[in-house]
Amino acid sequence: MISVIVVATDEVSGGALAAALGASPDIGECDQVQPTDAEKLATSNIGETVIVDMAPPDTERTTSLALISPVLVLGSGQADEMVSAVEAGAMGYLDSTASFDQISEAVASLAKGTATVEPTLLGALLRHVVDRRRLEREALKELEVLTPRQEEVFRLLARGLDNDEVGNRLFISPQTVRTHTRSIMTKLDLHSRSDLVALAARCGLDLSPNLGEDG
Amino acid sequence: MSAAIDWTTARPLKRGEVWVRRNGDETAIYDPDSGQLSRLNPSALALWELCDGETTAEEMAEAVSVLTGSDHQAVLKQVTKTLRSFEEQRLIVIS
Repeated sequence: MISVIVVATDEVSGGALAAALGASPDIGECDQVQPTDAEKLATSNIGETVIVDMAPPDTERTTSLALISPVLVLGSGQADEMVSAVEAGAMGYLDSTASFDQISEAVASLAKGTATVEPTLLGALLRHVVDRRRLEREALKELEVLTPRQEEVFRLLARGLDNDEVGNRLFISPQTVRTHTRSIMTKLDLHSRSDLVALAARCGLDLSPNLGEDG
Repeated sequence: MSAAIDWTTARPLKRGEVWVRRNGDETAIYDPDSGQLSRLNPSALALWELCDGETTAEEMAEAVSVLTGSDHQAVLKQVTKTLRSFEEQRLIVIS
């Protein structure tokens, strides 16, 4: 049984949606909360919870909530807004005029781990991803001036590791890391670590400090 | 001839002569030259909209994979199948 949290500033429409979703046979508990309380409630309901966010768009809130549970955003149906929501981490996006049945189906899909977006906006979303990937490939070409080792150092620095941590990771001394870093900055015409991180972001590289086993 | 087309690198272009009519989730495309009417579901329409003469099937499949988390090769196979179908229905030309 899926539990749902409806995030809404308007308690009437939010409450109505929560009541309608709660009546669905696949959905169990369904609560309506204000945006400011959403994160707290979501954190206490980790599990098979889906968050339906119909409050005014806020990508920071979407990102925070998406770290806890799948988020379905109900918005204006504008392509730009959908792209922002999906980029912020929303797993689903529907026009706020979607029917209860459509929302209920989307909630069920998200609970199974399947993304759901407004069908008529799918083309715009794909176009956005294609364009972004092209920009990332262009940016990645800038890294071709680096040696394989320098690129390894670049990727680790972009993830926020300091010289000692990079050295430990690559089995080289911090002094060698500093030498590589100077070469990287010169070759790429970068002036600070934040420039380096910005370039890595344009390349679409993983900026997470969590390296995992393959990092 | 579609058999000679390398669909992964081809850059399909929507035919400008067709008429597009949308009704809810379904889109109908009418070719006045042949009198043929084709119906596209939202996924097929999204791919057809990407047929701008610059975007390859590889790029389309990559975008779908990024969005859905699906296996790239499986998506590429489905995308090229859909593009072949578009070509057979004369909804695209290959540039």
